[in-house]
Amino acid sequence: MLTNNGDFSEDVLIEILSKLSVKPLLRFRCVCKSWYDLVENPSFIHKHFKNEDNTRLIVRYTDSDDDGSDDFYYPKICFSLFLDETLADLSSQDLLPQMPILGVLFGPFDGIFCSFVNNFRIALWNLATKECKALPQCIPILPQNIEVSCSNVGFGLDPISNNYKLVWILTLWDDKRNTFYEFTHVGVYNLSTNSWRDFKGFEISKYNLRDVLDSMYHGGVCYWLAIRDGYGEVILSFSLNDEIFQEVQEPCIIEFAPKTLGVYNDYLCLIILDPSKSCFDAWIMKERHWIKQFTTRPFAEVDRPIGLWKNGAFFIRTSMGQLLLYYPSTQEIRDLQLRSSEYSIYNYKESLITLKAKDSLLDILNMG
Amino acid sequence: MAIMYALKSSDNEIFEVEQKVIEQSETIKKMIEDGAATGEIPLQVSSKTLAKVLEWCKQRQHKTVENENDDNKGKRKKERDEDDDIKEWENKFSDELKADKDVLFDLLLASNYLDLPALLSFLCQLVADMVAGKMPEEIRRMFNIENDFTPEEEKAITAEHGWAFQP
Repeated sequence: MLTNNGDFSEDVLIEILSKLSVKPLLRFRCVCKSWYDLVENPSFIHKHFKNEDNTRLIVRYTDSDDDGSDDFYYPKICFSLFLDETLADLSSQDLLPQMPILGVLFGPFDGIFCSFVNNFRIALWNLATKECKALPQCIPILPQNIEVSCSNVGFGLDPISNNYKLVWILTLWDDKRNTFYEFTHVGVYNLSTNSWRDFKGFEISKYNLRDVLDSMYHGGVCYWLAIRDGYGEVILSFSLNDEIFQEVQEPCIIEFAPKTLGVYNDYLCLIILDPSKSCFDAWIMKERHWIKQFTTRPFAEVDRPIGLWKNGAFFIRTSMGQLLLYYPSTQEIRDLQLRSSEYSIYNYKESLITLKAKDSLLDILNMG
Repeated sequence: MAIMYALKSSDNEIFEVEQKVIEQSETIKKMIEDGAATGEIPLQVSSKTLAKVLEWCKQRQHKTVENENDDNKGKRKKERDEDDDIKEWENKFSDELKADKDVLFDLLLASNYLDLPALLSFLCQLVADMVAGKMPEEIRRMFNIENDFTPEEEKAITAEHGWAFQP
């Protein structure tokens, strides 16, 4: 593929460049034609993204220094990217001022954020390349008196077709009967064709996606930790390749057990707090079976697990609203020095995925 | 008694090395297994570079042997001290390489040829850290790459992500 590589063979060059962050790589596209092609090459983009060292932490939380004195106090939403990937240094950067558009934000999935400008308008945003793209408008044809009640999205690579896809699930409200409409509506967007495909979703009586506890993308599949009415929490999955919803059974049923979804050693992982013993169990999904990976010691005053970090480390919210990071291998605990009643944790990696659409930002502003 | 092998550099210098040390190189390991390596093993690597390669392999070998001999008691503390020692050694090793680009690049090519993944990855990271802040023109000089863009093309690509050219 490379012809003009100077001193190095192609393999060595790819090895070097895949260790760089996105900013220098965008600059080095100017070096020569073969470097330009490499940085735009999907398999290089994938290799670059897979580099574990680049994972950084994003925490979304509400800043709650409300002392009750201000009647009009409104908690501030913080969206912090921690700059040091080892978390030895806890300095962070606020992402909200960098957002090109305001809207309800989902993700990041594979380094890409999805933002709802309004009910029917979605934009993708790559923080690392600063590219933003408005997706073509997708207005589903809904029966009369049916409105959108809430939206859920997932985004990621379909590894079979090598396409990036976005799945959008609409929970609908029946205005006439004053209840939820019996089916959800699902749209799938394909980044390479820049087009939508609609299909009828699942029965709403089955899964409640109004209060999704956790959502993530891993290995070609989107997951939501949702509630199945009259049953409890379940994991709903959507394969981006065959576009099929499936329910993943949980490893064990402890009623009202706080839990979180994540990735551990490249496997789907569930961390469950056993309230009766105050300890956490970590389960991983190996060849369609759950295997218990470890059980922690009992903890005092913990509230719930929220998200996994690298190598099985995971975050814990305490009943005092602290955010702790627990490393099972060494049993070390770190306090991230935050205070909030609500946290969302994201493992963010810079991605070179190009959203190339230069006119689209204007497009969104006009729409928004 | 440890089995010794003789490695011959491209400039005909002989290095006597323990089998365990050189077997980290998949290329040499394969040569030994294939029986191609009776007597001296000829390598397309200069003596200066080969000395550096062996310095790395010996340090690595040292580390694995010590870990095997450990019992679990007090291991964590010991491991941490060892990690510090290795870090210190690696820092010294990389400082020397950073000072001499030609040695670094030769070593990089040798680690690829000898199939030493850990060294290759270490050196690639070192080069990546060295080039991360550089401008395209500096990169071309450093890697001996010819600019095959027309000035117009280069200007257009630069404009796509202008912010990436700011410090």
